[in-house]
Amino acid sequence: MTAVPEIVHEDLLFRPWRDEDAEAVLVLATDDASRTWMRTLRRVTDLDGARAWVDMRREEGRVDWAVCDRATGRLAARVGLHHFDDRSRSAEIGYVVWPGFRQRGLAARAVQTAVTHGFEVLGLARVSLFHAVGNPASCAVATRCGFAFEGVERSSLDHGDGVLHDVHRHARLATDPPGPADAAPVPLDVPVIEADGLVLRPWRDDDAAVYLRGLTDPAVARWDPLGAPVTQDDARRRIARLHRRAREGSTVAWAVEVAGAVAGSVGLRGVNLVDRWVNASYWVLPVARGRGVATRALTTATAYAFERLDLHRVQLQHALANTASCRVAEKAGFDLEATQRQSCLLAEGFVDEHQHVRIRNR
Amino acid sequence: MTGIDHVEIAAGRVQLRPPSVDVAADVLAMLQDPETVRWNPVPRVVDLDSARAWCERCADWSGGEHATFFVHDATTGRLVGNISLWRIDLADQRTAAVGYRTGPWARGQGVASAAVGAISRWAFGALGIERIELPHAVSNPASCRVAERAGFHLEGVLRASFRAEDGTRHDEHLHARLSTDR
Repeated sequence: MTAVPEIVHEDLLFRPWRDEDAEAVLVLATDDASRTWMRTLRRVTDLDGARAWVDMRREEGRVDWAVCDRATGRLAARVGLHHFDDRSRSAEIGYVVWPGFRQRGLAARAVQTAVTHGFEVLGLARVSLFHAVGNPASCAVATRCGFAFEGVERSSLDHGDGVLHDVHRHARLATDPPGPADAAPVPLDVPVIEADGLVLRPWRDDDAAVYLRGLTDPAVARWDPLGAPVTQDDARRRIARLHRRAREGSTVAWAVEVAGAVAGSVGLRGVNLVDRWVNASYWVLPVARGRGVATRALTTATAYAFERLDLHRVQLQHALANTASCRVAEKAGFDLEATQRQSCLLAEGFVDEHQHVRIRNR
Repeated sequence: MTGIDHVEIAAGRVQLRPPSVDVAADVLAMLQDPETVRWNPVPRVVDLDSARAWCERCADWSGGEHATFFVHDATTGRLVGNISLWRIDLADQRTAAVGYRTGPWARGQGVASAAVGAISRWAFGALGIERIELPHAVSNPASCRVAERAGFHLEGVLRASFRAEDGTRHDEHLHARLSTDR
């Protein structure tokens, strides 16, 4: 039986699991995000199930810690090494953070502590880390902690929902630096979202005409650093590029529909899953203005960035003279953060921009 | 975990049969071949007795976690290799891994490719497996050709994941085939 030693790391205590941890496990089992990615947690529906889950942490062949907040003694996270292979001196790492302790880099600290123990005390040469492709938060932890992206295992892991998910395979070698590793390409979904009287949906090929109309409207084109498309073919290429950038993991862009007709656009661009921020942008067709379409669409997209992409900051920039965009930002709760000088090159030359920002949970 | 019943699978020029101690001498020759020792060693097989014991272990499918076949030439009946569906997880993930060896007297004839194709069809069709992984050391290109011919997609490169008998570490290719591929 491999020992699970107590480790103190600043405000955290890594300790072996105890019977009384079952109550906190029961709390975790009610958290949807945790249940989604942890098959074993889906089976926990009562205190007995939680006790069985704790017992699993203490099984032979696992080095698994309960990570506690030292000040309060509360359970904050779980991190563990398992699937030890003596021959190749390798293991796998797994982790979860309790809801009240998220958004403060705790998973990365837990992983760093556990993997360091694996290399330095247990003599491991290689630690693998698996996560569903649809779980970008876990990808960010892997990257931050120096686990290099090695490939995508197709249809490899059932999280208990009966679906075999594609899985990112990361690994860190004892000889690798502690991080960050190069970010893996995470294809981004563009889901259909109905909210606040709007439908956000992916742009389609046959939207080229309305996409062209939107971007060539003078009140939009003036602020477009890319320059408006000229023909429907240009518009089609721009739409294809949005899809490509979703696959590459940088952009989520939606057509915004009101009553079944396209009224505008909202997008999250330059998704940074490591530092957890993104830039938002939007435009509205002339016929649909004055009804809060941009504000509502931006609010929905921002909620998606926080809740589904697990980002921390959504920022947006607009030229100082674009006062309509400034009003949308303010109405959607984006604080004015800075005035960036000469940061945007438009047809009329370099212009100053406002940068607005919304921080998660604020 | 329930065991897997013995079956025989015909695959053109080769046949996959449940392991038998009758071919222990050929098994010993295959396992002592330097190329086998390099990539797929079985260190505890050192003589005819230990080879027989290994054959018996291979024939025991009662645990349900592996199904190891001996591969025979369909015409002459001689042992030409072995192939194993292992890490079988029917309960949770419906996944398995595949590994194989070819006797030095039978190499270069497509034996492993034919065996991998046959065991995959059986795993998908009869066992309900949905994904089969095939890892091999990057420096073992013969195995890579087998994977490609048998339709296993290259999904990634696992760095330093294979540790050879001499302690050197090698990158591995991770190939996999899904029941829905092609």
